[in-house]
Amino acid sequence: MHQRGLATLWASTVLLLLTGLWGWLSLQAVNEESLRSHQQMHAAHALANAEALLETTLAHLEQAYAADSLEGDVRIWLASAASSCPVGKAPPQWQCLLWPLANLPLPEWTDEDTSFVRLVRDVRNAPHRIQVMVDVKLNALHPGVGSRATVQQSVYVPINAPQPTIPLSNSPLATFAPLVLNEQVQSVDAPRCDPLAWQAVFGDLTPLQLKALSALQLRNGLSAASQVSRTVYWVDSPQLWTQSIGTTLAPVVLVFSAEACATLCPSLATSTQVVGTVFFQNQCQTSKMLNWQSGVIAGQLGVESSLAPDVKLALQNGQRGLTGASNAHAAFNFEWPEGVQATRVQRVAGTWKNAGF
Amino acid sequence: MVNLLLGLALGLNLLAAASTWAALQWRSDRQIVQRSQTQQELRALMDTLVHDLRRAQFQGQAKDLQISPHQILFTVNRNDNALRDNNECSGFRLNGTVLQTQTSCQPAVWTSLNDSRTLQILALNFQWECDPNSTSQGDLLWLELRSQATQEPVPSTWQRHVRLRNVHARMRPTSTSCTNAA
Repeated sequence: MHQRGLATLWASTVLLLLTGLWGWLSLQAVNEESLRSHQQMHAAHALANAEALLETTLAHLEQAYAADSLEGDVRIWLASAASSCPVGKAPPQWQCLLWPLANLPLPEWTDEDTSFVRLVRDVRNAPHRIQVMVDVKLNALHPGVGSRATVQQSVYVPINAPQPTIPLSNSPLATFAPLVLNEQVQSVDAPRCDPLAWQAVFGDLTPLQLKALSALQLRNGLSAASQVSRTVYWVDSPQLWTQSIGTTLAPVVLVFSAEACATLCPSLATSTQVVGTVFFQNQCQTSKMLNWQSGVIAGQLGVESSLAPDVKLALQNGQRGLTGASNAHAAFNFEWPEGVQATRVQRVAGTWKNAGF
Repeated sequence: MVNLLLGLALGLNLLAAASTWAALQWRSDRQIVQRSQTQQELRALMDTLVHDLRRAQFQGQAKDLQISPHQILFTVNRNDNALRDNNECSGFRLNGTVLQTQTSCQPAVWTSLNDSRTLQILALNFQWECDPNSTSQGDLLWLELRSQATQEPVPSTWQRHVRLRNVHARMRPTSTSCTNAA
């Protein structure tokens, strides 16, 4: 009898212990579920902060490019640095910038020390397309301290313009007209020189924009010798041009500005070859184009005046080192999808992405 | 003798009560753990849906977003190039009681996201709500997922609104109609 009583006591104790254990396990399960809910809530909060910061950045970009877009562009990218670039996007092709968070109103509970806004762009192939990456972490004042979210969005900025669609024949070998001249005749009644040749070659792209693109490539370290070569050259100097630039795969644009042509336009040295587009801003004055060419141009030549008839004929016949190429405009023909205006900051379709949640 | 019988009766009563309590606790624990697992699985499914849907459509063309009540097809730009690569077609559909996601364009490959032996998806519904505001940050997609775990007697329904950041008035395909959210 005594043993039976002991067994009952023992069994009851074991059952009580098991019950306690199951109860504890249940509590654990409930706690874990609750923890997961909280983590999800914190991640959602971090994502909301990241989205808010992205929108703030885009609004600031819009404002910066609103008045004088070229000046705004220089101002924004002044603090660009190689150390700000993500892996695989290094200068001189890529330009990167960490936007100082002190200049942006941060959403509440955002950790200013570990969060960042990074701007990245390809200065050679798409300088008008900026990728904005926002990485946000919640700070110690939030129960979800350390929760992180990243979002990104690309935008077009108004620093260049789309090229007019030039009807080429269906042949894959079709080329642009190798020679573009401004045949405008100036007179006392019409003394102004309309940049007709410029418009024919560059469309809505302005000289200031092209000059800025050239300066941007130079500033970012692109050159004819760099691994990814420079493609835009704006020349203000009247010196003889002695550098061979451009390849069939990477044509260039070389512009001798009105400043370079102030007295006489510079000439290409005998041994030089330029693959791409060469343009002389000679202000409708044929006299500034005396003895200007001895090198070879494979692509397109634009002159803001007419030329002597024999020179013109020789150029058109390919007898003076000028040959056409189908991709002569590649250096400045940037991607502008239909419907996207080149006059203001606009989002690139389908580039919003998020990660981390 | 009376004391002995009384002790025995008390002991057996205690044992019976403890056994019942233990059995109840065990059942309850099992239920909680199973429910927690189901919740976790459903949450993972919803997260996958929401995460992918947020990035839907990258070229703004009609084929980049096709929404029907029980299926959604869209493209995402995974590698930041301007082309629609073969792994950039995505989508969700209900195939029987299995939720599937599309993982390639050509041939279309659909991958199951749940094991119907433990969790059955009974319904998957989408409704696209346009945001007519010109400064809109994206249209809304209402989605509903009705599921039933094998051990659960009652199905559960999850609903979420997802903001489609890449789909708004300026970049909205015209092939599918949306209802006005306003």
